[in-house]
Amino acid sequence: MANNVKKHIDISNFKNILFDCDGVLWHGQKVHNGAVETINRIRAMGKRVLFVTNNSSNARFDYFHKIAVLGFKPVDETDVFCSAHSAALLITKAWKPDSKVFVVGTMAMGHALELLGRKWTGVKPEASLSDYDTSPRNIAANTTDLDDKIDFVLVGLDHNLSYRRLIKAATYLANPDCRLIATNRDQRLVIDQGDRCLTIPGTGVIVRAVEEASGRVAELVGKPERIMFDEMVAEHGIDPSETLIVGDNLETDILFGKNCGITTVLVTSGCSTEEDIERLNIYPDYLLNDINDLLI
Amino acid sequence: KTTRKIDKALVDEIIRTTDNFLFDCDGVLWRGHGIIPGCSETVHKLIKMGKRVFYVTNNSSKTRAQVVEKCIKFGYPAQKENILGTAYSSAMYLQNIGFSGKLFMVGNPSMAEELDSVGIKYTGLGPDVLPEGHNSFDDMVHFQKEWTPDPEVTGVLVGMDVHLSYRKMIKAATYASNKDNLFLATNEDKAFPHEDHVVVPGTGSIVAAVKTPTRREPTIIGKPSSTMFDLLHETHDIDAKRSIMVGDSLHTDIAMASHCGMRSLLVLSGIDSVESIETVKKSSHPDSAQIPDYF
Repeated sequence: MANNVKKHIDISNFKNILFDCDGVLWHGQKVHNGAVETINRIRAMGKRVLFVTNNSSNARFDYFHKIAVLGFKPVDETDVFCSAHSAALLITKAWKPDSKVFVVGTMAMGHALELLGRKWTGVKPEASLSDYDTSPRNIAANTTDLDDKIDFVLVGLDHNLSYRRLIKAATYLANPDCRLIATNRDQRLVIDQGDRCLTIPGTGVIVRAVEEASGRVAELVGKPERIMFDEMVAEHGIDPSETLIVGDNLETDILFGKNCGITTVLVTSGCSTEEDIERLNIYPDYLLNDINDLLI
Repeated sequence: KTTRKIDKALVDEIIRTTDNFLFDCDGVLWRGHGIIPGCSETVHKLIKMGKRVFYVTNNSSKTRAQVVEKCIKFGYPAQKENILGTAYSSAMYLQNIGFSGKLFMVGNPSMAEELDSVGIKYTGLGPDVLPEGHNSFDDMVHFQKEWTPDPEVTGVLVGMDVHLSYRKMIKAATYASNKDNLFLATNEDKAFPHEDHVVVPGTGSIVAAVKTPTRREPTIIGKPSSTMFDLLHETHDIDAKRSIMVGDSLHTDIAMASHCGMRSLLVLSGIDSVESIETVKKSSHPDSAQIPDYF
């Protein structure tokens, strides 16, 4: 068992606390019991509270709005770090004149690019297959709406993924100067309601399909990569030695913490369990039941 | 192992010691829609010499009858009995293990036809999308709240499916995540060999879309697994030591030959080149199964 992981934490020495959202603060649309009060008390202690999420389905403003509506009070949109925004920032930094992004993902990812003035295509369902489109080769031959300016293929949670989408992504990526960027690699969400147990594919699955189709490896923007932390440092000037991350996913949140040199807290209110610690060989500094245990 | 370049002396040695010639199709017999000059004459000569010829392809979008049609069109002598494709081989594999349940099939009409031939039940063929105008993010969330798996499904079979969709991926992942369900895939080839600038993604991308969230590896029917060779051995009693596999892909054709104890010949008319052999040798974990005997 995870014997060397501490089960109690004193947060007085941490000036900055980063919170993952899904599985920590809320579960879908439902706030985790007591989470709002806990966050308010932590703020009242004078600490800086930041929100960090891999979920590519919402833009920065959407999260700011959701966080506010659920009762948490972010001070500013700049307290929110999400993969759609970070991907748009990364692409902006590498922008070439006349460039375009092919988005295998959400409308929010497109909006995040637009906000920074970047042109993009994709997201909407591809042209549906006709009766003549019977074989992969036929369909490829009939895929004539290819754009010749694509310098980036950006992958997130694409509900409109199709074979035609893979044809386009792989064709753009046949150019070695076209970069393949992914918001995150979260693999799945399990909906377990006893008699009904569904496995919902995550963005990581879309990424793997594009990687196999193109023979390329994606550059990752989200946790566990430290890109979002570097943005926090740039925007808020935070010191890693005074910073804590609270997350429910060992492979993203806790590894992210280790990559950034900050203290890590795993809460078991979400996807990772205590048994996963030893199975995955990823040891957080602290193990708590949920966010409220930060103040015990 | 060193790969020897074919010369007249080697050809004579191979002819002397080989009864059965197994040919991959794409990149060996033809290239997409294009003929490879001289090859059909070679196959005719082998048959005249009394050799047995078999065509072994990972293509899951063709029934054996459809492969025969293409072979004949390109001038190769063929009948169903000397063809092995993954659509047929998957059906035979399932029949051999006595599969009696229902499959969720992420596949195509040819796979369906081969399953029908052996009376295996399946569901999932064709498009699976939310109706236009009702395909918003909220509609997808609603579908996830409403959909219940079919309790009759006891296995998942994945092959080339041009109607891949997120909704189908949810269903396939759900069925395949259940460890009591059989999980099979025809093959994991990355791309179809193609002539123009448009890439034709292979079945590997479809399989990745299904298997990734399940934390399971499907049983692979096609090359480099030995299943298709085992089927040939069963029906035609072929001796691996007197057989040679001729293919254009180190990862599938040559590796399968190694796994089955057959000799292998890499032809350079398709996917891999002499440099590809060097790349395999120099990699961090070299896979010796991919080194051909001849090229």
